[in-house]
Amino acid sequence: MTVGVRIFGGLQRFTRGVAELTLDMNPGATAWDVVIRLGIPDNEVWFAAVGGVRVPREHLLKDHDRVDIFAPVGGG
Amino acid sequence: MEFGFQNRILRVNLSTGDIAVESPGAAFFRKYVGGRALVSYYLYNELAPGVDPLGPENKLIFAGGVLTGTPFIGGGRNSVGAKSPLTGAYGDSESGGYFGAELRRAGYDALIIEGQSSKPVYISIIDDKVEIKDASHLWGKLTGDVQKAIQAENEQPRMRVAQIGVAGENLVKYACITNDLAHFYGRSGMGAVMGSKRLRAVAVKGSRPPKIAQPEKLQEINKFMAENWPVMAASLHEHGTTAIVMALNAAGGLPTRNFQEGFFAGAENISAQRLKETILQGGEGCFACPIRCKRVVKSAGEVDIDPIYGGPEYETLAALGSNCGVDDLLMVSKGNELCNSMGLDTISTGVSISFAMECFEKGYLSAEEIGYDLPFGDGPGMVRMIGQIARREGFGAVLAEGARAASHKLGEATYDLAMEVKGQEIPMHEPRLKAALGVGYAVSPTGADHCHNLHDTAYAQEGAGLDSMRPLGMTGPLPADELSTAKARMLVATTTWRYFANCAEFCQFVPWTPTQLVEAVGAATGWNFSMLELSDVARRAMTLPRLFNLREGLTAKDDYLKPRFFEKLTEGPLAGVALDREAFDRTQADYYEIMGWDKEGRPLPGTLKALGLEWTLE
Repeated sequence: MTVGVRIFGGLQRFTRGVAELTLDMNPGATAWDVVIRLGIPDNEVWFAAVGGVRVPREHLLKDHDRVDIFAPVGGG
Repeated sequence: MEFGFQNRILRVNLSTGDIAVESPGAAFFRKYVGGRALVSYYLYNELAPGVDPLGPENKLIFAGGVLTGTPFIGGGRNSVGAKSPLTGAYGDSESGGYFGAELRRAGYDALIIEGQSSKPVYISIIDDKVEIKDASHLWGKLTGDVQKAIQAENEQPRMRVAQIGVAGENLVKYACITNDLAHFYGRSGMGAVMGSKRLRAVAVKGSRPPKIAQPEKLQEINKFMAENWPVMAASLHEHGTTAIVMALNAAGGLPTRNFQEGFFAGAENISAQRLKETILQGGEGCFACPIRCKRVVKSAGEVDIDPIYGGPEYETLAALGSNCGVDDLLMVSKGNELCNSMGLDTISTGVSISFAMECFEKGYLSAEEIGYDLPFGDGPGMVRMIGQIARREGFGAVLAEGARAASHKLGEATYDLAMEVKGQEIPMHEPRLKAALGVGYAVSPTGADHCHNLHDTAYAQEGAGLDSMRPLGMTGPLPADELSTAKARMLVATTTWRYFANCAEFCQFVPWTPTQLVEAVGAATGWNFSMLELSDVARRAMTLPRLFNLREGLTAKDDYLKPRFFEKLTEGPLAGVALDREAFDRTQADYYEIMGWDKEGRPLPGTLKALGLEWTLE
């Protein structure tokens, strides 16, 4: 299956500056599998969202899902 | 004393025209290294209890810190303080930009403005030449026109100008002070205090920067940040604070429709990414900072937006955007431009308007009273109301008093819809996502504040940020929604650090660690500072405002959070989540105890003695 991925909040340093990409994932892949696949260290990520809403790490992805990956944020 | 400080406090009395310089000496500056420490010291000592915040007895204090105006990266910050007309309590606000650095480079650690002029004036400072000048011709003008005029008539094109806008002239209770047109001392209504003194601006040009004791050492510390900020602060550089709109929304903590919800369906439309694709012109920065996190936006045609007033921060995108239910980036940016050019705090403006919108939708306020329909999501209505607030026209005059005062006018049924603490409107961070931040809102001496507070989500997992806080007593990550004794300890550690940032004056967005800062302050002054000594500086600056407020008659009852946050959110990822009242009260009590206060929130004699504040017991 294919999922769209967006990388936020400085995590692009782990993806050679790429902020948006498409990934082919195996059926049964979870939201956190995307983080692992991109090689972003575990403690650098706050959470992954699907369709703009935070999901648990083990959330099962569907074809054409859009996954957003966020770093922890403080103030603004 | 030779290094770090100028040892010069400039005092200008607008009633008498007296201008004087004082030199408090090394022992004083070592205990109060600048910014809030200086502000709180002078306000506590020199204001009689009960003075009218908008009367001549109030004093307005601009204060840099030991790092302001030095080459230290992030050293452009500085403070303004006075008794707040919005809260009736201790008030202060910080800003970046260039004005504060220029004031220190003109030879002054602080400027204390007293009295009240009988006609509009501005203060011109060029090193030792300090003059009170007529500003009648500047009254009523937009800030951009005023800055240009002052620079031209002083023949100083690079003179740095801090000024109020029309809102400050009209004593709008949350009027801000702007410097360099796009940097703001936003909170606590400092612009109204300045307006009450009929002081339109302070303009400064300096040529004698503070001397550094160990310039090579400071340069070496700076080198670390010069090499590492492109990675460590990449997101800030690219998007500024606007970067966090999408993250907070996805987490369920983006204030929406007057904090009724934490998830906004239109978030994408007011996001950093959308800003970049549409009206963003680029980034701007502050004195001695390469990160340049400030946004500049421009639009012409359907909506005109002048880029000289910068662009919206995260706080503004949420306050005028999601919190008013508005997902039109042009309207939000226009609202931001109006607030900036007329001198309104965007947070208090947005939350006052969102209060009116909720009152309108719930039937507590009619279209006749407002002059038009004002439902959530009405971008043009929001923009129209901003102008009315600044000019105190129609219903704008009611909202110009702040959400709390407006609710008192509209009746008891609306009290709980005014999202404020101590009268200060709540900034754009949701306590149901960041639980101890809610306690921080409640106990803050200036009312709800997000800068001297704990953002629980920043320390919910291991990482460099948490590691850097270990020397201040942070022992490990805690869940963002936890309320506990350990969380109270984390709140104290973080607020201590953030108060220290507002005393030494460095930007909290530059990712310095506390250990690096202790070294930097040591290099600037040549004094052998430790973490403990500088923590005490911060604790003094946390304690004096508390004492100031107690003297004004505030009590523990003023440390509250509105009932809304103890009710469940119904939409988004945090649907069903509410703060637990008992856990909240316990954590607040723990905060008092850890700070060395009694159950009523009064600092204990031993606490004051430990901080060298025994003189306040007399």
